[in-house]
Amino acid sequence: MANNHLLIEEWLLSASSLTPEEHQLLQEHLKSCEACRLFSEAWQEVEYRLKASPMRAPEPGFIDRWQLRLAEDRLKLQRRQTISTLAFGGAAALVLLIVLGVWALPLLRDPLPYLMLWSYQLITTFYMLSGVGQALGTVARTLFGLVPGTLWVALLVALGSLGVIWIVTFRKLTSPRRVIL
Amino acid sequence: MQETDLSWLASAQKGNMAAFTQMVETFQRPVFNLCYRMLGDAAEAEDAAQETFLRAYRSIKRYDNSRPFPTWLMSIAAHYCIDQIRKRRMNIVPIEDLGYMELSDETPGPEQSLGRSEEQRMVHGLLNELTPVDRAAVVMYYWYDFSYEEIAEALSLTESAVKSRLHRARRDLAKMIMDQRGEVQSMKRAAHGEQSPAY
Repeated sequence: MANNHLLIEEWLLSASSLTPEEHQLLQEHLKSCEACRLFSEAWQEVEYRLKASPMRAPEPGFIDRWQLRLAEDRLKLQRRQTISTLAFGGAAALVLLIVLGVWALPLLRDPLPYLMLWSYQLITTFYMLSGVGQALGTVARTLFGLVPGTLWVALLVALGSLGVIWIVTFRKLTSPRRVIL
Repeated sequence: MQETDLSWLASAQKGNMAAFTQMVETFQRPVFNLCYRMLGDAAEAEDAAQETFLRAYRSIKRYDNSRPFPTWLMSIAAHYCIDQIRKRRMNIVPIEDLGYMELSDETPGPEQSLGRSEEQRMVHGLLNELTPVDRAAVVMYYWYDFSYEEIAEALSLTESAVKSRLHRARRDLAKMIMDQRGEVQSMKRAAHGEQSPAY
């Protein structure tokens, strides 16, 4: 026991309390061993310094400075997001341009067959649309001839009333007092 | 934590900015103190404390309510400070300088008294000789009365690792004091024209 400095060191530094026997042995050892006594005194001083040192507070206005920093951080984040969105959009546009370039290369070399094809498609579409227009006109003229004028007025009034009822109902249902989030 | 703090916390988790600001108000002092004890400089500690609250704000929605909030917050602060110290050391600052960096305390108020300032300086000198993780464990143990379990949780260590780190740190701190006393004795002897026993 007399030379067991490691055990003494262990006891001195241990946060848990010693038994009365251990405490007595420790005290006896410290009386006879100068090295362990010096160590014990040094450790007592460390403990005193650590425990006596107060909790430091920040300078006044910490919250204001933190809020400012938070605002700056948000701004930085927004900038970063904008830059990344722009970069992504730019990259996508570049890829699109390259694809279009590859696709349009034969057209640029010999444009005549493509121009003729497009002209043919344009004319065909025009004729098809005019045919549809004529058919619709014929149907409308036939309907006007069959249905009397008073029925048309009644139909318009009924549709108008339904529209008003729909708008009023929609406004009432979506008013802030009725919306529960 | 008190009931009111818990209600602020719950509110902050729902995105209430005023509630989070209240949390900053409540915890600014312990967070700042941890950073100050870790970094040893008021300006760096202010920066670290603000960064801690920013990080907490960003991840408050992911915070696990089963963990104590102070431990979670201190964990963020301690890890940030540990990283800062490691970065500082990577900048090849001589280790002898670290113990005495920014030791002047220019904070106005009663703490600026000479005796207190000297005491602070000595505490910084001691803490700065420890490794960053050991320092964090010591600060949490002596300033916050954290249990081994809480320190382990905050520093992502096992309880036995915390115990052994604290033991090592205490031993190192005591030896530092012994060395300082030895140096003082040698200086006194030299001042009185005595020769060191080593010669």
